[in-house]
Amino acid sequence: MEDSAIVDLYWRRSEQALAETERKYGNYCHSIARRICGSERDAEECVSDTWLAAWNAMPDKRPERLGAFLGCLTRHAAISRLRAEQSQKRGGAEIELMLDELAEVLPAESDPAREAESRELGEAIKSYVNSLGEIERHVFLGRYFYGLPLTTIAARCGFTESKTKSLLHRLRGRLRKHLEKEGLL
Amino acid sequence: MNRYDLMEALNQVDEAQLEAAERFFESGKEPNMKRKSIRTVRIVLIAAVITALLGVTAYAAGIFGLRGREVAPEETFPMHFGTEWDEAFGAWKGTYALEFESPETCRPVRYRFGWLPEDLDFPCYEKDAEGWVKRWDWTPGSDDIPWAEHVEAEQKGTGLFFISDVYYTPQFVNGGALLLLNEVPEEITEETWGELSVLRFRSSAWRDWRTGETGQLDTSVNHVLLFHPEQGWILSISGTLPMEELVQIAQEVEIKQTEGLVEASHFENSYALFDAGQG
Repeated sequence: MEDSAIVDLYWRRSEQALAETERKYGNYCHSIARRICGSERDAEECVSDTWLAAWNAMPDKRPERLGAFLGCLTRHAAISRLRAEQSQKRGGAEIELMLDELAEVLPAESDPAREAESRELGEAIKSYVNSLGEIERHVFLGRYFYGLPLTTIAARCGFTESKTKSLLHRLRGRLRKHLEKEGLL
Repeated sequence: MNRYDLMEALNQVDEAQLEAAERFFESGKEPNMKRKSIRTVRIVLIAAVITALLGVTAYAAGIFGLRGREVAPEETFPMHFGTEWDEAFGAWKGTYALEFESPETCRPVRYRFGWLPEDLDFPCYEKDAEGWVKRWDWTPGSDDIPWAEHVEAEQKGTGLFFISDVYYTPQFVNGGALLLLNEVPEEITEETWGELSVLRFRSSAWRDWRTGETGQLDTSVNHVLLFHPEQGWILSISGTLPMEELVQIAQEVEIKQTEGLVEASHFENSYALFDAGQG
């Protein structure tokens, strides 16, 4: 079913919307959640949270790209779960690595008085991603949005693993500079 | 702000870009490209032949436990990542495969440059106080590459660049190979430098990683590979710098073995990739 038809079902409050969403995007959302949460069970729960969030968001929202919209909801659910379970270190090894990489962008100690609103940070990251070249953008989002392993990114891009790692290192450095320039760090 | 905030802020990236990235990774297929057949001219230098005749070592370039071969267009190499992406990316391609005969374990090495061209800008090169290239951290079982070292530099004002990487032959002992990607070698020279087998060649790039453009690009890339058959390491020095400069870098690089043991089980795959990329 076309995305626009699925969105129409949500707008009509038809429960078929959930079945169609599950059919078309179930595996996609599940794989995003699993890469972040590191367990099948948590991923299942994140996907359920995603369907609920989508049901509550539409209407009023009418996403133009349903897949990306659901991906964001899934990430939100998975990250919320990860935050809650941070002390128990339940995330997978891969997500820990990815989070450690992102932490490199941050100063050693964050000043609460200067902490940005999440919207401001989101806008800054959005403009940073917009500034990247196409392949760089795919690599950055593949790693930090979709949580893909380095090897997978390297394989898809036709890069060596070292080169992929080196590229991500540079992209994080540029992100840090960008956030500094925006007054967020 | 913490790392979770950063991660969550990525949800505000344009949906069109998220969708494009998702499509890019989902497609999982190499673009079809017309490849020029590889014309390999193998030159074994007289000096190397003399050395071999003197029986200095059981190895010899080519000859010495290092075999290069063209990859047929239909040939693919199995790669596994332990994820659902195996199916999509399980078969890699290459243009040229280097296979090695070497010990099944070896010690990791570090290296430092004795000479480099002036005006090089290093976006990603860290070294310690003695000039040894900093090694990436590695945790067994992690997604990292064991004992990897990677140096990239660009020559200011010229756009010329070079890249170097270290590989270890235990990765390849189970029928694996070091695969050349994105380039087609044009002329191959095998030499012997003391204990080292040296392979150097020029190749033409057929994919620009920055644009994804494929086809016969008008870009020549040079490579010098230093291979120590008994110690089991390979150092690649590549880039668009002139071959003479790459050779000088290679001749003046210093390499030392360090503590530790490299073995096949440390690597996820028995294939590794190398190229000089385009950046």
